[in-house]
Amino acid sequence: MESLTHFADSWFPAAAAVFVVGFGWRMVRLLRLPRPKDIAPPKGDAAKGAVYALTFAMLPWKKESTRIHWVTYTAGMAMHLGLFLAILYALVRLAGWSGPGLDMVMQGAAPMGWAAAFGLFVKRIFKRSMRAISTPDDFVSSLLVQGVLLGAWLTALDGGWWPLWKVAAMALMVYIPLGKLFHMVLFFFSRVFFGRQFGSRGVLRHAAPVSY
Amino acid sequence: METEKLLGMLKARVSLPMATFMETCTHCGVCADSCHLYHIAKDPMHIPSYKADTLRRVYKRHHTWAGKWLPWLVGARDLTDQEMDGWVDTVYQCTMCRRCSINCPIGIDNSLIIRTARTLLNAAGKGPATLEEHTRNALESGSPLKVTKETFLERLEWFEGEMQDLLGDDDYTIPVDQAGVEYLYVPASLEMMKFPQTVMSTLQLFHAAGINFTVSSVRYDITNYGVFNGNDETTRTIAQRDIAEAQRLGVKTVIISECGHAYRAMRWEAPNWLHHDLPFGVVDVVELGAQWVKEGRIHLDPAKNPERVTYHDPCNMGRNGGVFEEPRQVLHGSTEDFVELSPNRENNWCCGGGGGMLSMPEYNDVRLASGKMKAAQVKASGAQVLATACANCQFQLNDVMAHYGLNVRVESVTDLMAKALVRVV
Ligand code: SF4
Ligand code: SF4
Repeated sequence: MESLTHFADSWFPAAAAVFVVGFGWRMVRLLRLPRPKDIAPPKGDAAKGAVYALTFAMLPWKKESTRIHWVTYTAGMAMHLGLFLAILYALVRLAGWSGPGLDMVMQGAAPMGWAAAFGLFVKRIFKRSMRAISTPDDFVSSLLVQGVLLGAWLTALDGGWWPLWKVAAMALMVYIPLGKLFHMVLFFFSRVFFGRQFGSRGVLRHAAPVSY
Repeated sequence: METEKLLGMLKARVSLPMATFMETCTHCGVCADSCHLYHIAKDPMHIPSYKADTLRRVYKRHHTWAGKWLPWLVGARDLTDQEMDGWVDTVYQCTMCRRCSINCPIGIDNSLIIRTARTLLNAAGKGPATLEEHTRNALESGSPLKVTKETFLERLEWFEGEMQDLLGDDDYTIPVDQAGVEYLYVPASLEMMKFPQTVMSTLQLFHAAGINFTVSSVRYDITNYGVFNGNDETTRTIAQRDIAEAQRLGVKTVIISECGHAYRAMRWEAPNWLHHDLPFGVVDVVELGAQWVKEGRIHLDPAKNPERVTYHDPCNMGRNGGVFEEPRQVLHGSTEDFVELSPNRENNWCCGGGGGMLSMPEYNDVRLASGKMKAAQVKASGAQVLATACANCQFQLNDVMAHYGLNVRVESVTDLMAKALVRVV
């Protein structure tokens, strides 16, 4: 564990730097792309469409797909919630705060998130349709997320695992700018583009004047 | 076409929204069942993200770090002849209905990617020959069905005679190439040849509303096959010809007949393809009908259509065009027993005939199989009449009703509206 601690402490800043530079670079590359303006006369409201797409449209009962695949949806939410709390927990620890209350939250959230991520991983392996659309990136991303969640869980149980968790987080940070985990930011772009176009065309009823 | 040129075409189309849709799919797979094609066949080639991954693999290879350095990691691939050959069926068997987008938790526009894949396939000469032939016809003769000006004028003469009989007015004429009027009405050749009743019904509505309109002997087919074959130049050329004709005639508004993709193309896409506002308004005949009902300009009697009627939302009118309530408003006024299909509006199932499927007979089996959800919806509604507002859908729905043995009559919304017209004297 001592060498792991040493490795984590020495390389953590480098991993963080890779994350910041890689993340920034990818963002700059994307933001420099043309942003075509929709000049067709609107029927609804693009801005309202975007707000709706980011809020109420995300409710699980609003989409047939999430109603049908409610197990997958719930697992996805649990994984993302667990990961979000794990990152928050890490930041809190890095800031020098800790306490049994925080540990207890993580002792619940991290295994929940990990079980969900693991379940989705298994589904990707065993379901024919999922295998057909998967790339190694999908598996690697899942394993990295699972690593962070397991690290957070172990650390919440015993603070001695903190270096292991740090290493898992370093791997995640280095990988984010490369693969599909970058959807952590592009998700919002995508929802906004979706909401703006469907909103402007009056397809999303919350963004359209109903004439009947 | 050389690979470099194809890659250049792809690069020219990479905008922030396109890059976002290319790079954000998490391969979660929840969109699979929202596609009518996958829902029926359960074939992975019909999973929306699988379809989009065709072009996405090449995009990643050339536009992302991981794709450049570690292509195996993200499934990136080079653009080769063999690679593109593998795209054809999955890409052309998408109706570009965007039901998957509505259902994607991330909001990925798979159909935008799929249409761009068609752009590259078309440029490489790999598009289905049948679809290409229809597109060529549209460019050369002005109609994908090769309806000539002479045939069009003959049809008009016939309509004129029918209208004279119906109205008991020998002086009734259909204005052709009349400049300075308010409206230009452009039908679709599928209506002219297969569903002439819809054109007749439209003329009756125009007469009842007392509008000042003309048809054109130059542009008499509003379809735009460039939308389907993916060739942007063709798309623009066809749209420009229609725009030039409307400008020549100096009309204020172009009335699009019941043709979903033509409405989407002219109302929503053309200003963006051409990078300028259109110098006239664009309205669908059903939208106009709803407006006239609201204004009290025409009056409808629902008792004239006593049967149970339901409505199929054409994807290009509804999900892609925002025309949901107008046809309902009209149908509520024209029919006694209107029931909704479930699901409907933006969640409606595609009929399976969009995206150029009707012009590719080699995919007929897939087309009919993919109408199964629609047949089930209609059966559950107990309707005797299935109304729709798109000639393309009407054609497909006729085939689907026959294929699944449903004794349901398919009619256009305009037909039902015309039947319900109360002639005010
Ligand atoms: S398109 Fe959307 S729903 Fe389908 S796999 Fe990709 S992210 Fe999931
Ligand atoms: S656009 Fe329609 S047909 Fe194409 S993949 Fe999506 S749901 Fe299927």
